[in-house]
Amino acid sequence: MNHTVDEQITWSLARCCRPGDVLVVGVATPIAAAAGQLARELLVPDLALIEAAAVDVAPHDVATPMVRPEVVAAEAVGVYTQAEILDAIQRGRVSLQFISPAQVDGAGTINTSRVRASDGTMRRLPGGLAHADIACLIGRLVAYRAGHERRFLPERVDFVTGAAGRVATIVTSAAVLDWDGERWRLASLHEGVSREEAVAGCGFALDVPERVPTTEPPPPEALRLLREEIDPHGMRRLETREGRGAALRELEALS
Amino acid sequence: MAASKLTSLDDAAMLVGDGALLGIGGVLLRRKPIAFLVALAAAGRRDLRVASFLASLDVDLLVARGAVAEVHAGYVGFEQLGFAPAFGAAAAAGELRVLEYSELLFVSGLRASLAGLPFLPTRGARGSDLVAELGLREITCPYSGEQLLAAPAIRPDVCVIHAEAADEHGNVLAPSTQDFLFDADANIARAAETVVVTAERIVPTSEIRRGGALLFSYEVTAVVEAPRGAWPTALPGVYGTDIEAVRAYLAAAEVDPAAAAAHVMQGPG
Repeated sequence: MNHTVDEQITWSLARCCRPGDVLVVGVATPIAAAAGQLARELLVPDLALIEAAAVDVAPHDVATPMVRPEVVAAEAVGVYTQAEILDAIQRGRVSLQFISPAQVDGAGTINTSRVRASDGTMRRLPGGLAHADIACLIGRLVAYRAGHERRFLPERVDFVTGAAGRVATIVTSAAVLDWDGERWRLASLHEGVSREEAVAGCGFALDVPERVPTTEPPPPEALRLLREEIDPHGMRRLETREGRGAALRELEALS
Repeated sequence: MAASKLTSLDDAAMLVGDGALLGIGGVLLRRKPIAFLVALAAAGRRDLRVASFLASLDVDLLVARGAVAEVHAGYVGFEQLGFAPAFGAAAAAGELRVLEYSELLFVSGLRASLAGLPFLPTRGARGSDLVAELGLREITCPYSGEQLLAAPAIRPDVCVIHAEAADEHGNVLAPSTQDFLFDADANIARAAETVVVTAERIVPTSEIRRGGALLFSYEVTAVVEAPRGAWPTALPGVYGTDIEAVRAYLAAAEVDPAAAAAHVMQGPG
């Protein structure tokens, strides 16, 4: 079955979940939300899935929390308070989060706060939410973006929102990169992407093994679940440049 | 029985002076006390210092009207709908002092206030450039020697929140749904000196007794009846975010923030 880049990224994120993981999904990241549900359905049935602050959420359309936030919370096993969810993170109880920062650099430092524009001035972004905290408190972070360019993967971030050390994997529109303890290694290339393209999109020196496997494409059952149950309105495309406009119109029609 | 705290939006807005540190309740595009902020902007308030955990239209609207000097927040934006146009433009022009917090730094600051403490130690944000920007200091654990950040108490002069219902004495009905950070408004309200509550409905105390309280009468300074007072943001369980209106604001604000704000200030259609 043919698949799109957002579906590949979603599947690659889902594959980062392991048995026993406690996964937190933040706000405004429909790809991360879809990946968590997909992982629980097909890969890690015991995954503890915390969406925003709702714990063990029931299966749901990822558009629902954007339109009627109370529905997902009402169908969860329970909801953490503002202090409780941050305490769970602070005491080290959360093992995994998918994040979409503006930049991840060659050391694994993340930036969600501000980026240098082409004229040299710093452009302020909406802000890092809990990124500064989770960068030093959550077991593993997986950074993702529907793109693969030096702007996203610079040698050094323009601003340190979150310290280096916890980003274990980067998933882009071209490849999956793994942190080997010292640097980023090309773990797999998505179908149709050359190793030269993957290297050219990195502002840091990428370790390229002699044999680089092809990223596992989303299997038919994952695509069916994603398209029919988890994200029938295509909210994951809000995180892609080409699909964003249509997805926004879809979202508006739902509200 | 205590005296009534019922007042008008305009009179409640008088509780916020120029230059005040204003805590704003609500999170992202939910429970933002927009009707009150509109009244505040219309009253021509200047140089406000605004503390809003995860901000959206609340901060952008006040900035668009030129009411803000300083923003304390963990996020100012519209999630997948886009960036905050007036905030972004004013920050780029150097007209705003922006203090970006991590979520743990902000909430630790609120919790210090809630506990009546000057600061709360936290393990959050270590190694972040935000630490130096905010001028945070470290503290050594006297037992283990561990280095922790000391998050200073956030103590707004005035806080405003929007709720589904309150009685005239200031008892505030707890949210009917436990959506994302449903309790956050109690935290920022209790951290503040003065608390303004706008509510969809003014109800008898018996209704609060049945539904449970978010805040108690002695914790609240003023109560204002403001139907659809969070519009175009959501009041979960009562009405959803008016995404069409928010997108219209964002599109208009790209051209002229003050004009876009004026449109929101006309209220729900």
